Amino acid sequence: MLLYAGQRLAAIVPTLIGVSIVTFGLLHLVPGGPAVAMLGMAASDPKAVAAVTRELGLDRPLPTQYWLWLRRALGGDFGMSTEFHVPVSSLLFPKLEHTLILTAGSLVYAIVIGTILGITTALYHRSLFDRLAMLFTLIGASAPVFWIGLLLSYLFAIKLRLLPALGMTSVLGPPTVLSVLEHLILPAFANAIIALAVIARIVRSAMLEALVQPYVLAARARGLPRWRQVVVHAFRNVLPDAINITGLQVGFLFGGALFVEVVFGWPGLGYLIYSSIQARDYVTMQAAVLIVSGVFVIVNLAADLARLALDPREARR
Amino acid sequence: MTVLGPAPVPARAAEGEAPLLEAANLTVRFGSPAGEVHAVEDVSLRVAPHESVGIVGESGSGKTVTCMSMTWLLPSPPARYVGGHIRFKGEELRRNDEAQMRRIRGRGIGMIFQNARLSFNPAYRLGAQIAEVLRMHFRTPWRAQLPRVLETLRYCNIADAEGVLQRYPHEVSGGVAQRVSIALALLIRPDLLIADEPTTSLDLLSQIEVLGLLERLRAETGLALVLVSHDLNVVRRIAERVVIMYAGRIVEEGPAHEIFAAPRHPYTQGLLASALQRTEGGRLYELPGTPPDLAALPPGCSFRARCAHAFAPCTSMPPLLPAGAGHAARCHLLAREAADG
Amino acid sequence: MSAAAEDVRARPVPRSARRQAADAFLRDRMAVAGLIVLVLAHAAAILAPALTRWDPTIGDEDGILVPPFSPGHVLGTDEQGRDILARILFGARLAFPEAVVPVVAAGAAGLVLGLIGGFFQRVIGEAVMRTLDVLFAIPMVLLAIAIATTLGSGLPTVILSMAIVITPYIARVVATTAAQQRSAPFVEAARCAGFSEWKILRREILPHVIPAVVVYGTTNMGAMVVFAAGFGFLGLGAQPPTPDWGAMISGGMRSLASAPWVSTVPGIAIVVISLAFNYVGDGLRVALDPRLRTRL
Repeated sequence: MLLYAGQRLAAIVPTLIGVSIVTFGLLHLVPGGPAVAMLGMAASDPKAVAAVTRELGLDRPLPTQYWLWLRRALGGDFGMSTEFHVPVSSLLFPKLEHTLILTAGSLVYAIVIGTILGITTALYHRSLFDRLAMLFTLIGASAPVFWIGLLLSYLFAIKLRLLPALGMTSVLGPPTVLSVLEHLILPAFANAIIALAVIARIVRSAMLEALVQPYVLAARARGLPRWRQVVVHAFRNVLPDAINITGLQVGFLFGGALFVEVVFGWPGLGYLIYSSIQARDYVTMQAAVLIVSGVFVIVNLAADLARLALDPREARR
Repeated sequence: MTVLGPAPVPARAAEGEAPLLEAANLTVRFGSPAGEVHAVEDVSLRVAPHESVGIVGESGSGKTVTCMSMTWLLPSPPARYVGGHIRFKGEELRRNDEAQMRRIRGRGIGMIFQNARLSFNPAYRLGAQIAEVLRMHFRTPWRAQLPRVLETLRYCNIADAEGVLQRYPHEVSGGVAQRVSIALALLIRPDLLIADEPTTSLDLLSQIEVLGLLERLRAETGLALVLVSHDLNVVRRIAERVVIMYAGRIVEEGPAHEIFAAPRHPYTQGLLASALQRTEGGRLYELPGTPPDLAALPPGCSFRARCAHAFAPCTSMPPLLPAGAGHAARCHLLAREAADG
Repeated sequence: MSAAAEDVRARPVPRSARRQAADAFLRDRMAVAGLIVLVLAHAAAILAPALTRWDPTIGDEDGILVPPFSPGHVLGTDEQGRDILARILFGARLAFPEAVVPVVAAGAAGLVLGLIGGFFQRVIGEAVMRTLDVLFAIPMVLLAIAIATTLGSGLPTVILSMAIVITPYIARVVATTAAQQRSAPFVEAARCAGFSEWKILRREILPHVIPAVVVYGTTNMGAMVVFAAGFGFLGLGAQPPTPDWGAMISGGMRSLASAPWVSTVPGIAIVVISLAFNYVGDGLRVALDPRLRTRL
């Protein structure tokens, strides 16, 4: 088990290197090349271009450039934002925290509701409830998150005035945990819907399979109550699959956060990326992709290890 | 044997004693796209306290469905109880709901299944699964149960009892898993143990060992036993009374020695012939033909199409006709012999 | 080819099975409904100029934010007074290419890469799969947006970036299916019978891989409709005033409180088309997988 975990841990190193090469390459796709990308508006001055080129070694061969860039990035230096004229890292890390809060909130929704929905639809297979729930998940998974966000915002914030429509904390008074949670309810739910639908569907089909396994019948024959058959026996064997799919969904939650943050004015990475798109702030965008991917890789590693730990047959291999 | 309940009792149950388990005219059908499957038709079965009954039939004969319906383990739908009664210690089970049935399952009627390894959850250690069931039934701490658990496991020929508790189901052999599941069934102290094809998926040595264990259980404890098998040889060692099923019905029942010495139903005769020849070598006897489709049973005797003795009356379903003390067979030949004799 | 070699070959999709597949698809009511919706929507996109008298890009200053079901504007108008129905119809002209082209392009690229990775394996195959792993490690939406941003906005950029990010997914489906088939007994048998690798690829592997790609691709066209709307929403797709469903939703955000329909209606169009692709994809999966087909 430990050896295996070590192998998995080692395997993310080449992945992270690959990710860094891809993000490094992004700036080279910008028309005019990386020097222009890093200067933004100032690129019209040839002297500035020459200065940046020299300073960052952009006239050196590509591998050297990559190495220089990677060394700076590992040291927390992602360059200067061409839009905000401050170091990107000072923009990035506070926003990352906000996005992680949003993503975590979405993840809680997706796991709790998705799992409960998956289990109950499996228990009431082919019932009206099952059909409606499956239709709901299918529609939820076929709709753009920002559209769902707008509908929720219109209904609960504008019409019913139950929840705040914008921001992360209340404008009045000091920011409290409670006010963050209140602001989190809508955007996190909007962002969770697709992941929730996917988890519900995976859990449902895995539960349908698990519920007819001989060990569930045997548990019943030994006099165990229904909830133990379902939760302790059937669901326990669905758990590795559920965790696996949940880990994969985290990437989509990060992607969805981008849109949801725009709709709900959530001051996170997504909103930062949105502003970077509008302002063509390539440097900020590049750093955001690198950071989010890094977090995603680590989350998936954690999900992978959790899955291994939960499957005794797999763990002994 | 203090751990296994009451003191040993005489193996043979007194005639006319109140039955422990009694099914009367039980009929169970399954909905299927191909039509309604008549899985169990009009089956009446009595198991006296301390008695051992063998149920023999091919796959699809209704023997497993009969056993599963005793404790309502069939998935419903598609299974449907059409009629009949099931009484356990005089209590009508068909009026029970799921919660009431839980009292009977495990505690009153224990069950072991064909593939013992699959009947344990792959995600938990065997010890944890035993603990879970015992906690459910006795509400005493595991620590207090442990000596009895180890003793029972050893009684079931598991030498490394402590070690087995630490293993996952996939880490033990099928034979060990089956003995653990027997041990677990015993630990709940049931009055009746139903063993559904307990040796079928085991290798030969494990088969012998598990059968030996069941035989010893019969001899040393007061447990009543229903042993289900497709193989007459398995039942022969243990059962006092044998029930032969075919196409959802009982076709013959009687004391084991009579069934083996003088089978009356042509189907039983065929089964016996193939079972004997397998053990004694020589050419394999095989019943000609295949069992009928339970979703479209032809009228009359279900065995008619495969029977060498079929004659005119067989187009109507024969009743179970008496063929001696406690012996009956569902065959028109018996009526003809009675008329002739 | 010897008669014996002919025998050992299991044909996954024999000719008569094509009929069976079509029958299975037609039995699936939701799939048929989805297909009808797609055909009608596509026809409406082509016939858009004939179906509405409004120009989707020119607004009517006197009729801004007209609610739906008003005379002349069935679905209302937006903040510039442009007819929403006209913009939905003309927007469909973008929605279909945005859904289909990336999937077809990625399908071709993914097929080649997946076969290299899954069928030919060896060092180069391993290298291809590891490279694709890297792309899985970057959240798909984020990567696509980053690519589209750096390449500059516009429809071709959006389509290219979508194709790039879904290629790894299709390649993985191909590689898994091909690797499974590669070790299947009937492929071993064909190899023993002296079939060349190319012949095995053509006769044993592709007939399994192609349906898998078709099903996966069709199901993902639904996701592409949603995905493309996201680009429009961020202002990365077709540039205004070209009608684009995603851009229409973001355009309606400002007037959400007073005129919720401006954002709602294009979203409904997206959901309907995306659902239709999903149902057709589901129907194809059942129709093209003989095991699923018989189970029903």
